[in-house]
Amino acid sequence: MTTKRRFSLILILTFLLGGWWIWQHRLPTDITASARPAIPRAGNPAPDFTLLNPAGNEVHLSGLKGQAVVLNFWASWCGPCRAEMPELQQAYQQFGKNGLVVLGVNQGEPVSIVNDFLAQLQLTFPVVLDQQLQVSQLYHINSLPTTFFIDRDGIIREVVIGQMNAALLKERLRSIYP
Amino acid sequence: MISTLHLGPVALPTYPLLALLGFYLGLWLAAQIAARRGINPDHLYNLGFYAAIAAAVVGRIGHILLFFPAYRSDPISILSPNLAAFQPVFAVAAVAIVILFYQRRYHLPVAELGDALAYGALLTLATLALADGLNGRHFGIASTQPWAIEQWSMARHPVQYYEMLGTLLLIALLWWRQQTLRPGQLGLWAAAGYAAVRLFVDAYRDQPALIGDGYRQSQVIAFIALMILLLVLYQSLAEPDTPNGITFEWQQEEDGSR
Repeated sequence: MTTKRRFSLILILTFLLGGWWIWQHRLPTDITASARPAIPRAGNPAPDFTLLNPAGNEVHLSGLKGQAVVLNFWASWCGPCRAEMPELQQAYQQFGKNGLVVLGVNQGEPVSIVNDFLAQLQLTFPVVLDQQLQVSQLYHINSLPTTFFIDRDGIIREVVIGQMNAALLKERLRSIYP
Repeated sequence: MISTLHLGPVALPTYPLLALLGFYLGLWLAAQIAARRGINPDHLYNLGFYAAIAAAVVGRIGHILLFFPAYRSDPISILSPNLAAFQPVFAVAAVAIVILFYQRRYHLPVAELGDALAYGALLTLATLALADGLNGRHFGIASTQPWAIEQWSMARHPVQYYEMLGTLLLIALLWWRQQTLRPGQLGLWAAAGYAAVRLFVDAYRDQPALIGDGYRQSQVIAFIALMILLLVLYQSLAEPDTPNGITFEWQQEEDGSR
């Protein structure tokens, strides 16, 4: 058999086997994002949680369904968290009345420190206290700040690790607040 | 998952760390191939340096152009270290222009340079697959196999590691056969081999982007790329004596025996 013939055979076999392999691994197209498991990755429903705010009231993430949510994990000792707070506050003031919620999740600090921080930076968006770090573990938070952009159906659309500037925040907001 | 390395008080995120390591390893391997192909390996390191600078600067410029009002009100954020504030299309275009410009400026042979870059890219891709695995990115479908790994609260196919192993195997295979390949062949086989790896392993990836009647987008792209690359290789068979023609060891043996 000549080289060209041998190669033609390889080509045909690759075409047939490759096509069959793709056809064999097709997926149903009617699976919606909300039917996926709740894991903290883009394209999946945001895992639900309940935490207390500094006033001692419970806040459920599922209670915010129907609104676009910017879920921001932070701590007062984290410089980049502090630096991006004015941008988050501005977004909350600008779009809060039209269905955008900025929800800060403080990592394991006492209420007094959190309140001082909020007052110092004049932050008015809602904040909850993750004092046992169970929500941070649920969301696999390994560095601060980390921000999840959750759409009105409760689906995570974007995850940003690290400090956001105004442009990046605006860009990511488009995915949940068109 | 090991998304952070804790070294005393320092916590290092593994994904960017491995991405940097992969970039360097890919460059190093490309330089090795370049040296065997008669190109001064320093050209590859210089090219990598210029390409990285161009990608960073032009990627950020792209972001500034798209969100100019936000940057105008806060100019210092132009220097934001967050790698998400980039436009990848601008960065890729910048890298392509730098490679083209550098190749023409120093009159580097296109086929040999392509071989070195494509082969080096394989090692970068293998390292990125490892980074994906450690960070739970692009995870696999549920599995009951004994080698399944726990990711996102479920035993899953370690598809990122399948990709890494497949790519490393391809690197080894091409390294073993490189002496039998003419200039241009190594790059083509590297690209075709990687497309074949993705065509196979992406069948085990969970939550893929779909096109048409439920087809996995990455598999379809890999399949089309693989067929095109094989056709290019097939075409080259017609002219085995041309400088860029494809001649296999077994073809040479066959020709010699005639």
